[in-house]
Amino acid sequence: MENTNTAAKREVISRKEFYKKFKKKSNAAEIWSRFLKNRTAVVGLIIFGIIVLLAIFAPLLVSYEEQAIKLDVYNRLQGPGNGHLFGTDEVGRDIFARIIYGARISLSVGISSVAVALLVGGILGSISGFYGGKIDDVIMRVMDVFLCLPDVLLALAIIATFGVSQINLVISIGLSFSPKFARIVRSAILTVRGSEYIEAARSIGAKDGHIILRYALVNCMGPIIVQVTLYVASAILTISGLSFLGLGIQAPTPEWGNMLASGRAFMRDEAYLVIAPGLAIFFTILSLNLLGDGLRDALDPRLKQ
Amino acid sequence: MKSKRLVFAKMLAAAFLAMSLIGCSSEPKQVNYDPADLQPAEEDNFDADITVVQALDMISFDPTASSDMSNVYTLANVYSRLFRYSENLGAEKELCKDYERVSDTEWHFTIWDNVKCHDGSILTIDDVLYCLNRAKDSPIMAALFQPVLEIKKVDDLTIAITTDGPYPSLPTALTNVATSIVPQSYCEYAIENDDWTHPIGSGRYSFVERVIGDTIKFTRFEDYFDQEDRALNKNLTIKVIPEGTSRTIAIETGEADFNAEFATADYERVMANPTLKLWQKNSQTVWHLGMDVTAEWLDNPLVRQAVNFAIDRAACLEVGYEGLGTEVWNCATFAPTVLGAVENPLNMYSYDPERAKELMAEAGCPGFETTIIVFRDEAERMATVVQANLAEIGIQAKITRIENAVFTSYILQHQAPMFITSWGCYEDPDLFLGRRFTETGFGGVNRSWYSNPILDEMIVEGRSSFDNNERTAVYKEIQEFMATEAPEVDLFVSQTLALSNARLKGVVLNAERADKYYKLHY
Repeated sequence: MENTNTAAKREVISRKEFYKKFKKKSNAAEIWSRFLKNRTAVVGLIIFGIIVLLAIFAPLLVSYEEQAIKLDVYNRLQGPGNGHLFGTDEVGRDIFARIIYGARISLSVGISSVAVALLVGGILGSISGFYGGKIDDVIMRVMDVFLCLPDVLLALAIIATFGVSQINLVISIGLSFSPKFARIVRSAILTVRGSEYIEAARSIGAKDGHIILRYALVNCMGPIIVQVTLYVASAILTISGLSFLGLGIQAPTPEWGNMLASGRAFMRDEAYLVIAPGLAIFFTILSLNLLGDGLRDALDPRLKQ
Repeated sequence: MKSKRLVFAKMLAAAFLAMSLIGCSSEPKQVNYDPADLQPAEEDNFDADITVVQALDMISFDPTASSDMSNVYTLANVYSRLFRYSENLGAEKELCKDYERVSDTEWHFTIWDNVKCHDGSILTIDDVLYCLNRAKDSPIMAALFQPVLEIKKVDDLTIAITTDGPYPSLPTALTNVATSIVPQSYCEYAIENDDWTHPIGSGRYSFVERVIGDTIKFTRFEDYFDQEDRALNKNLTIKVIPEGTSRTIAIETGEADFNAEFATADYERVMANPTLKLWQKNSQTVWHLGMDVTAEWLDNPLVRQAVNFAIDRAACLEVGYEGLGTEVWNCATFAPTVLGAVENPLNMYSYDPERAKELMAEAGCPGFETTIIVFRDEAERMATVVQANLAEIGIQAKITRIENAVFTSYILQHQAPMFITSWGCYEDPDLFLGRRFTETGFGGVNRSWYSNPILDEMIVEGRSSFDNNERTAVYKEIQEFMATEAPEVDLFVSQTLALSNARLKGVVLNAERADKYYKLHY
């Protein structure tokens, strides 16, 4: 009897082990696990995480009014140290404070711009990819025209027309990026348009909008998420470029591009004025690119092992 | 082992070389400008190609188009004027060989005989008459020529100018760029075709080519009328480099010979370089914050006074010009060396934000939004200080940087409620008061759109005497009046600074900026 019980127990344990070993992971867990195996992507995530945390908790670290904005002309151009981690700028403001408050601006405007691009480009791309035919031709040819124009030029034209403000900056960058998202979403929709589950949804009388949102887009989120990550990096770079040219975020609001612009007159003798914002841009773009590459690998079904 | 020894020997040699260079770097670099240094020696090279760099591009070869400094000092090479600037922005003879004040109201000016133009034609007194009458009708000269009743030909070399009363500063008025003499036939052609791209004049250089925004090239005009004062270099190129640091680098690398507009951000670096010379001279250039007195709230003198109290001039000087200048407390662009200048009229102003807040309250002004227009690096840095100062009294200012070429159109369209720029004062205040603060300067350089009949009368009174003591008393009254009217905030008087390599000779500075590029040589 004992032998029989023992044998039964062993069978139960081995089944548990079997299920533990071969239990199918959830999709998200599987992606996360693949992502964690990519060391450079993890480094990107950590760097980006630090930047985001600094941006979120900036008020706990430094005072916006006293350190990032208030001038201290007689303590200008102080090198790193002496109570100023990254030194002071050409009018005596603390560079570290301006860098982390600048992160708030860069990240928020960058993410908002890509959200606008995703919304506009996503709608146009979905319609184009889902319906095809003449609608597809018209939308894509219009998008092709916009794609011919460099992003910065298009953004410049929009800002020149509507004036310089943070909202106009978000809209201009968002609109200049939207043709790219339209293409990405269209091609993603095209790959799933003929799938059986789409046919099934049609056969039970689901409306087109419902099918696009609930079945088509959901099943092609992978490439979209990857592109969102990469384009946030591009948007931050564009914001910095426009601010450098004086058409982005306006002084005294701290932004990395306008910090570069105002520091360049002194950069030969006080290089820290441009190194600090330069490195901030560099690490943010690098981290987002590593993150994007990692996500692409993790979300790619062909790389499943 | 052998290679290690070689490396060690190289390190020693490098250290020795470095020490030697440090030892050599104790030469004085800063040169106080002295006109006595200008005398060229026989062994000098007078056929050099000289490249001058400046911050802003010229605007047009039409003399009446703009009195912007970059335009003025470019046109001076190709056109002659009856008079040109002296060291303190007075008048010294150029095309005018002789002149005489016949009476209190009539002057005779005689030009050089047989003056050749670049196209080979001879410049006539009719050309002079035509150009001066054209200048009289231009917005730039309207105020300067306001007392002028008539310009007429006396003989083939002489003109007579009649004024409505004594006008002691008439010769200095004739230094203005708008009075540049252009052959009438070319001028009519250029106006008709709206084409000033190939200027013809009788200046020391003839025009070669212009690449807009980049370079303007001239070559020496061998038939210049005053052979004893002809160009001391063969070819002159004016190159536009907006970035101050890039202009300094251009001199360091030998890309250019002379930087006419040195940016003070490089001051320490330049002072430590034995191969460069920094030329400096006290100037009459007043950096100021102008206000459009027709703009909302700025039309109230109390608010303008509040702005005058709110601005930290010392901070502006430190940030904008590395402290190389002198604070001023005027509201009418009087540099301290100008005739009749008062340091702080009525002892009215100081940096006093609390008083500024009181004045804002007295004016019933709760604060407002405005824009500060700038078009130069220094001004942009000063604007940051001004913006912070104004925020303290409730004025939220946005800084907008524009191209200098569109500044005039911003003024004309009232799109510049506040602006930071500089003004090189003539020695005689009559030559800028009328232009800057009366109706005749609207559309010209009265950028504040300020006018007042009381001031108009005082200006006329100031010019109506040849006695400087009498005039000084009037100008004191004018400055006191303007202190209460406060159409602008004078910030500081900067120094004239220019940079060259240590070998360059013939550098000339006036009280405004580097001048007379034709004297530059090796």
